[in-house]
Amino acid sequence: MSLLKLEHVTGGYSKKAVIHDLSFSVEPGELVGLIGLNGAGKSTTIKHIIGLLTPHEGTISITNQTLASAPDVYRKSFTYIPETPVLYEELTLQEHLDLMALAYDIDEQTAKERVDKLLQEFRMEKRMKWFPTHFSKGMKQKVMIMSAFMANPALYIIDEPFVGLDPLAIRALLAQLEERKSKGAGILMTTHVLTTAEKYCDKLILLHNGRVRAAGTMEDLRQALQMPGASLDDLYIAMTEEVDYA
Amino acid sequence: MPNLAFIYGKRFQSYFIELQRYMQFIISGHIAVVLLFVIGAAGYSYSQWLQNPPEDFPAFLVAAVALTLVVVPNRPALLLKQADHYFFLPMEQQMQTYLRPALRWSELIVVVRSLVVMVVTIPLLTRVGGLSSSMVIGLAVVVTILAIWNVRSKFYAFWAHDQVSVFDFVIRLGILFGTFYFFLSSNWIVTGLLGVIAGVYYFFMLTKSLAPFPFDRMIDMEQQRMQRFYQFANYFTEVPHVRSKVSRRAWLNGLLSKGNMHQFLIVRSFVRKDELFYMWLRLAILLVLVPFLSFSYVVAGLLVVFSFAIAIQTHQGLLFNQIFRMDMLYPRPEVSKQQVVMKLARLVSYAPLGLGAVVASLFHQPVLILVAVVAAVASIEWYFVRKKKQPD
Repeated sequence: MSLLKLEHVTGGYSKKAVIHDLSFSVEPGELVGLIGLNGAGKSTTIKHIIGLLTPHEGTISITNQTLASAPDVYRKSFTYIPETPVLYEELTLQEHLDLMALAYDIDEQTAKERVDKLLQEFRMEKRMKWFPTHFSKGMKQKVMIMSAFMANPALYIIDEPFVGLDPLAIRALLAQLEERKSKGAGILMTTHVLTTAEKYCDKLILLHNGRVRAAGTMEDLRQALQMPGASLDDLYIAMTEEVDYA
Repeated sequence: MPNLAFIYGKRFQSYFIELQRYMQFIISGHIAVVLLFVIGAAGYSYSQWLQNPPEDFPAFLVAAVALTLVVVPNRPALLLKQADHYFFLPMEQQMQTYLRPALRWSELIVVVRSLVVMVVTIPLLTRVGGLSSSMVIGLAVVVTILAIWNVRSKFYAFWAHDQVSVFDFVIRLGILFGTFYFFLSSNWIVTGLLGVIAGVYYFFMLTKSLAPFPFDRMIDMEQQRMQRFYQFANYFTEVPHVRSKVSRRAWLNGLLSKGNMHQFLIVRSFVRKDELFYMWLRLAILLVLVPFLSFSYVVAGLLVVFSFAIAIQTHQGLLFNQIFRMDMLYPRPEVSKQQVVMKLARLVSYAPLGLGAVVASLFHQPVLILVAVVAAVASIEWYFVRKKKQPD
């Protein structure tokens, strides 16, 4: 059973479609990279998956449930880390984590165990009583990451996770992603850091002008673009030039 | 190619359209009725009081304080934007072409506002203070000059110094109050002396402001000014630009129970968001103080108005916030956000209403106060019934 499945999804902010006929899936234990230029449709795709936009056509399911058919199961099955941190100015770090435990129905003991580990990994133990206004952008991003991981869902949707993070936090994030994957979670991640995507992603989806240009493992992409031994940077640049000048 | 004066003109147009858009929400429907009622009640009380004022009432002192309070807090509306620091920098030498119309508009607004307050004080000044017609005309001239002086001095003081100086505020406050008071008291020597000090202070600040235009400070000042307006407008409709200041208020931690997700968020929002909490505090204090007025019908009316205002402003303040919040993605608890907000809005409006009613029944007819309480509850519940269909 796929954790996330998009079947022929077309959609956008208004009647004009931004993404066209997208089909892909994220399987358990898989880290999938959604790669594209600015304006390629990555964020629009994510907004459809998390339920902020409704597709014009096609279906999106998480653990075989759609948002319309089983909203509670759908929402409980994923957490989302946005590119720009979205925090509650009136809640402390501790309260953001408490809120996640409340929303995702996590008992106090389990929540505490998860939180202690995450606080240590992201070096935020001393900031539990702080309000977001005192956090740097990187710290805000860490709060988003810790909140998402403490819910421990089946699927993670992560938009540009490395922006604003210090090298230690990037290492902690990548370690977390590996650990979650090994336990069977699926991850859909957008990024412009192509070297990291090439190294860590099991599957890549190259999005261009709202369409899937190529998808699969690095080897699949090299074959599709007929560039043996090419890096993801080379493949990506070749793909955009080929499409733009075709 | 557009110059800075043209850019200011375009900005002024869109600023005006934005103001109009929000004013439609602010002065609409029930708010207009409430405002009409409050103004009518205040006007009636004022006219009643004027018919038989206490002997030796300090009319000049009260009018001078009122005029000072309306003039002193005004700051220039420059309509600067964050990106101006980058895009206007190469045109720094031509900034005067942008600033001139901006200052003119700021002055006009303050002059109009101050003259309105002056007009309200005229019956007090003529009937109680015995001010002559020629002095009233003179006062209008003094108010106009000082309102313009205040905006200009503040602008140049802000240009010259890194922070809003307490010294500048105290100087302006002193000059404004002194000039108004001594002018009304016909003490021409002190009035003239204060006029000279005001002129010297203005030119002193003008010469101090020869440093490069402080984009950061001015942009920050403008954003703070607009934020205050947005925060006010946010009580009536959703304002995307609004940023609420937050305070911990640890002494209220006992109220922060966990409950469900919405309760967790909403109680904390109410307790910690300054705009919401202080709005409630102000109105709750008014509800308890209103019974000390002597006119029973005015007291009864104000009990209804203030408790209704608490209910709608709490409801709007807690339901309307940013366009995207993370809890929109979370699994939904059984109790809706709307239900939790209404429960809290009822609690924070009925509690001070009850207290106000108890105090009022000690000084006024209990039956009249009971009718006011019933009317307040009925109007609040009617409002909630109408809003119940609004989605979370």
